[in-house]
Amino acid sequence: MSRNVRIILLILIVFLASFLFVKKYFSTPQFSIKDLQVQTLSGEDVDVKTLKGKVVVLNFWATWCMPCIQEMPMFANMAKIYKDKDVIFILASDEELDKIGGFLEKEELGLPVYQLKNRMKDYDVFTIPATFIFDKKGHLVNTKRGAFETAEELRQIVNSYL
Amino acid sequence: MGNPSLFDKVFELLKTLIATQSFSREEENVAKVIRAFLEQESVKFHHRKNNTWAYNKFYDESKPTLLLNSHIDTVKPSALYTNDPFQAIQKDGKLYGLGSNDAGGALVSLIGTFLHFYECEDLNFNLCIAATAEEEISGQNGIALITDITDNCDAAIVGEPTEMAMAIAERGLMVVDATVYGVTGHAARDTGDNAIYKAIEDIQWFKTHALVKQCPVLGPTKMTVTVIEAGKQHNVIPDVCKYVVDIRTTTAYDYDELLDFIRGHVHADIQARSTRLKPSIIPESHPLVQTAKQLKIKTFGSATLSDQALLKIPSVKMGPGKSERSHTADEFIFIDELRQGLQTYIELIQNMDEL
Repeated sequence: MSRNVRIILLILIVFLASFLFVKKYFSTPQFSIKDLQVQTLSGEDVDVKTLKGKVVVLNFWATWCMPCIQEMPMFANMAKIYKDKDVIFILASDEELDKIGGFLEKEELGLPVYQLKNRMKDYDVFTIPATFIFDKKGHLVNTKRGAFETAEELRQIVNSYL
Repeated sequence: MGNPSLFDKVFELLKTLIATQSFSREEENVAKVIRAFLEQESVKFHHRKNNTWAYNKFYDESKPTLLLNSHIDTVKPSALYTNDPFQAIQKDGKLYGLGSNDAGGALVSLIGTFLHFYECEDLNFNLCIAATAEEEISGQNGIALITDITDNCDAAIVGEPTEMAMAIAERGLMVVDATVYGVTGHAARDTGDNAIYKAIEDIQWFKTHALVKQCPVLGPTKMTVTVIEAGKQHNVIPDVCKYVVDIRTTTAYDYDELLDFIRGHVHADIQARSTRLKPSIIPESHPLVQTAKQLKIKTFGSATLSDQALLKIPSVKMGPGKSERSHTADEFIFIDELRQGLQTYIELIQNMDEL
């Protein structure tokens, strides 16, 4: 193999490895509400078709995640503000049911909290909190990685899809 | 316990250790105390700088070796001490003094355990006791200096105050130096690119994101911005802002993967100050863990760093005393904790059929 061919091969390998790394960790998740597989904390499957016609704010969180816990009251407050509108706020964690249940016993949220039936990485989520906003047709229209800095930021996004 | 004289010996040793100043990098005198004690017990030892180690009398090369390790150095005493930190004071069932809890109690209990088995001819495995220096500063002249010895062992018990629960995993530490570059300019004009503002965006990222991948025993990786430095004059837009991130790692990410991940999300040039303090985890099937479970010793994942981070062999961390008492004013250990520590170490080793 000539030296030039080896250099070209090396460049291609480096390029491919970088591409795969970036694709794995930095690509924007692409899924629609119908791809969501969740169950209630009593273990019943949630039929996501019932969410159609509503703007869905789906927040991925975990009981050990401090920024997630810090923004929870904001979601609870927003749910109260939008209770008469076509908006639903859902929290989803991929932890065990008893961990989620144990946490909720201490924290009164007044929000639907579900367990993901698969892992967060299946939705290309590698850091949490991560919030996905779906329009009334179930299309993913906005992704927020990390905690919201203000409620206003979320309110503006939600209002634009009502 | 059946051997009160052994306890009395190690108790007296602990009092002497407390009375001997032993700050990190200044352990010459305390190393001499350890060596004099071993000599008095007719134990042949080896040493390198302020580290001392010894093997059981009937060491058998064909058998595996269990390392018993703890550290001889202490941090400097807090200004809030009301007692003399270098006076071993016995009061209300406690022994007060600097290093009594971290990690004098564990160290003397391991030495006592070693002595208990020292002359046994039929051990299933060898024992190596190592009293090492510079643990509190993760120094190069501590356990890192005797890796030729520790690498030749097959497993280790690292003595640190854990209330005799067994840490089967321990977080590692990676300190990251981050440098954000901007463009300098005059604060009175709309020029330049403020490095502080860019750093704020980075810091916000660390504050508002948690990494999803986690270790089943240790939980999530913890990243905290702990130092920031920028700017020289009020009227100059800073072109450099440096900050430091303390990352308490788990086995969920290897260090290069984690660094690449961070680099993809922040403005800063990211450099790891050191990657040698790795997280550690021992398989549940390891005889040390299995024997602990049989003896109903509680297991857990530890958030604090010890010399386990510098060991390449499977290791657990356990010892008498309480982690929260370490580095505090008027540090103490309950004398009963010490007694229990010696007894539990001995039981653990006695009940291990193999290593």
